[in-house]
Amino acid sequence: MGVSALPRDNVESAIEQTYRQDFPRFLRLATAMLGDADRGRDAVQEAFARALRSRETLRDRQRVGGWLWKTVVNVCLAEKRRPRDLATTPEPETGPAGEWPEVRAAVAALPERQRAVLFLRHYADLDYVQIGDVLGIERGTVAATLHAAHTKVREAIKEAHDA
Amino acid sequence: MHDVRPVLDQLVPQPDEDAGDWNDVLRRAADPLALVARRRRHVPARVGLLAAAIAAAVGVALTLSAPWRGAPSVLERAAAAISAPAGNQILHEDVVVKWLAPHGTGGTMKLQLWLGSRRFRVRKEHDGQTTDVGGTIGKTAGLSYNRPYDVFDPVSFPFTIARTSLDPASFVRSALASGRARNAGKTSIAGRQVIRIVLDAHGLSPAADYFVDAQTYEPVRISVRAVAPNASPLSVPLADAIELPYGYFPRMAKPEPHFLYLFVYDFTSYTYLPSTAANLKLTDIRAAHPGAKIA
Repeated sequence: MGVSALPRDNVESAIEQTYRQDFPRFLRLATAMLGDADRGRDAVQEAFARALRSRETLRDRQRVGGWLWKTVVNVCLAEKRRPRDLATTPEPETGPAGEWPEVRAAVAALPERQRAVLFLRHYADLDYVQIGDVLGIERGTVAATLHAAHTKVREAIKEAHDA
Repeated sequence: MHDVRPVLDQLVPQPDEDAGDWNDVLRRAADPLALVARRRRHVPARVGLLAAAIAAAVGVALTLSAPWRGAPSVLERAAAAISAPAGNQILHEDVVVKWLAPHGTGGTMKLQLWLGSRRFRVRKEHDGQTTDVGGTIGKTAGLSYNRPYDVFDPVSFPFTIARTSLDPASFVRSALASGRARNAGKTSIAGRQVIRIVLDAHGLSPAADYFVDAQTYEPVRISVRAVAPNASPLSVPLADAIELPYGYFPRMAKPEPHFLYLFVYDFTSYTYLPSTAANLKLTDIRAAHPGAKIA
């Protein structure tokens, strides 16, 4: 167990550059995961702050992007698990309430990993390899998981159209 | 075949804002202890494990080989005073934690720990609020008592809880036992005669001063200047870190001064309790709040 070989400023600048370049994508992913733009924004801010504090642990600048996505996802998952004030209104699982209630319900009912893969693909715009890196699963598993999620969402869309 | 993308785009549209607030990120990075205050905007009563994680900052880099300059007998007696509890004993610690942030703000909290062979419970009083968290040794899941609603909220810890993970003195015990400490002589704290034991850190931060009672060798104070730990209910992936009481703490070669906090832990009690039914209940959060149900 050693200390990062990367110069501190190098890593910090890479984190800042990623933040400035991709903030909307991080925010959209976090908003989808937490069902609320304010909570999503707070999670992104917190994730990057934590990344800055633990940047000593990063060895490879090339992995900054995946590491940051992973951090944001983990912060969102922990935020979802965090005990909440019982008086607050339960938030929807995907975005603010509005159109497509059937699809919204279908997405909310997806297993956690299917939902994460779906969000990382569509809201973070990551490819299969990147998603696999973030979630720690193989590329083929990403494809199969995304296919399963798409199938369920398509069924919900069809149901909404038919209604 | 329906295309999912347009529908998903409607569910979560592209955000209007195209730039975040990097200065806010920097502020948060420099002041992790403010996390609790930020969260209270959303949740008035919640788990305070992050605050409890401050105790992790007493962690000392344990890979040192500093030469001993003092009398070994003092170190041995200090080590014996905080020997690991026997399997059937319950360790009770009562600690007042004070911290000073790099920019001058600070705070105080009171921590009580009941650590048994199977269960643990941590009770924290901070900023007018009391939180009570407990769980099972060897697990990552636990319960937090929510007093206003008299319910337990399930919580997940960012690491598997071990007995050593929850004892703020465990790292001191380890350092003393393996010769990474030196006797720095007598001094006084609030009029009490104490012996200062320096736990050096060669090349890695943090280092700490450990003070024991000059007569009984019981723990009196741990003082350390360190970067706040990363451990919290937010499980940020840390590939290269050391596990210390209450969490994971990144090794720092040369911490920047503006990240360094001063943490002071004053022990008001450090006691080994016998394994009676009444004492075992103290380690069991469900027994401590018998009327509460899991939310």
